[in-house]
Amino acid sequence: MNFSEIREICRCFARSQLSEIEYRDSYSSLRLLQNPAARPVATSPVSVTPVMALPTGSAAMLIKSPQVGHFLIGHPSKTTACVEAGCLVRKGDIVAFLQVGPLLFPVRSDVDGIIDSVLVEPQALVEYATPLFSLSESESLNENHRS
Amino acid sequence: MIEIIKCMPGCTVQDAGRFGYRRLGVGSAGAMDGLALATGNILLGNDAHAAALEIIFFPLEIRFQEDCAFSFTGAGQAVLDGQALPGWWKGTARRGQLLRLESLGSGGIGYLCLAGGVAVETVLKSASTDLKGVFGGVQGRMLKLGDVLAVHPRTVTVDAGDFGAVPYENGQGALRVLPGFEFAALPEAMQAQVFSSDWQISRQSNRIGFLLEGPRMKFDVPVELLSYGVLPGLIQLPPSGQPVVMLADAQTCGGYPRLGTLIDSDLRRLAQSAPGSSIQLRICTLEEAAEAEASERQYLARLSRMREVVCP
Repeated sequence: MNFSEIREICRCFARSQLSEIEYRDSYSSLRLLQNPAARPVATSPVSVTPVMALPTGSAAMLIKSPQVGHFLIGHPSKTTACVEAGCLVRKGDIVAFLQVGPLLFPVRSDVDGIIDSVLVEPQALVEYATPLFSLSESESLNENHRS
Repeated sequence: MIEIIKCMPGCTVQDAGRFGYRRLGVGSAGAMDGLALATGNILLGNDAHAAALEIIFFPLEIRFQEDCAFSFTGAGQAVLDGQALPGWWKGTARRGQLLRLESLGSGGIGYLCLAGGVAVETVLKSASTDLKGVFGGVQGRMLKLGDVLAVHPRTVTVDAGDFGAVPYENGQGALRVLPGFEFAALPEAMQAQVFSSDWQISRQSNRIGFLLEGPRMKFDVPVELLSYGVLPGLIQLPPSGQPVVMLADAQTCGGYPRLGTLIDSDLRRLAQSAPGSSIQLRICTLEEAAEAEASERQYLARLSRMREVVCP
């Protein structure tokens, strides 16, 4: 890795939503850290809804991208989307796919909730941790939890 | 090991096929959709040609007698203990889990691959079931309730990754034919009809051949031929006037007049079409056929490379 490559990686990192990256090959290792709260919130280039427009506070639940890939709202062999606004999802459900070349990776919800909106356009290239869906808590789920 | 809990007729063990023995009267057998088979195997890190279960009629239900990674490609849907998996996906089953493979209602053939590959005795270098010769696979027959199948020692860990393949884009429209042999002996009006008609796939179709129902094709002067070698894809015209497209279990020689050859890439598409559905045929060039094949090879090579990156 040469100096200009390191500078380019730093630039990309600064623009990203990431707080830490680590890179290693047989000759070098690089670790970058930043505090996302200490800098202005950047608009992700792939997100249609600016991140700043998202509801803030603990009530907002998000499903974030688990990795880099092209965002697919449904399986390529189907015409329907995995989920749409108003859908109840459970932890572990597949809510979308990320395409990397000929491979397809699942986006699974890590919470129970109701899908509020899809935050990125179909086919958009998303980064690691890009918010993909916003969710709200389901009252019926809460009742289930209480009972 | 897996045990067959529920099985419809037509389910067999198939690999890429048995090649090199046609001159001795031994056909190739093998998967009718070799691309779906190879994709399933590559997802698991198997040899692309490893033996798998070919499912023609759904449902099929199996119980895992040990932890095992599996993949399901082609038509249909895999449901593991009530949980549906996406299409062309890799899954991990625990001992005792039930896998149900069911139809999505549009016909077609599914391939269940197991990490390591299905372990059956190989005959003439292939695990494929030859139903006519009654050898290969499981005693040369279709699978039935209670069959227990072993898998070869695994080469990948059971839990390696949660992912699938983007199904290969087959393309739409008419199936491509290289016209030839006795095609030119057909009256010209009928030559045109071959490529302008809707052909309905007969429900009598099977692994030997797909019968196409449509306008009856007749030669003005009967064509007499000496026996010739037959390969899958060959389109024969028996005296009934209804063309037959030979498939994986085609006999090794024949004598009916021939209209041409369906290219390999579209022979898979034909095999995946439900009996009763309609297809069209169109003329293509050898270059176009080679291009279609190269594109499939590229897809599999990319898939294989990418999988290595994800599961080194």
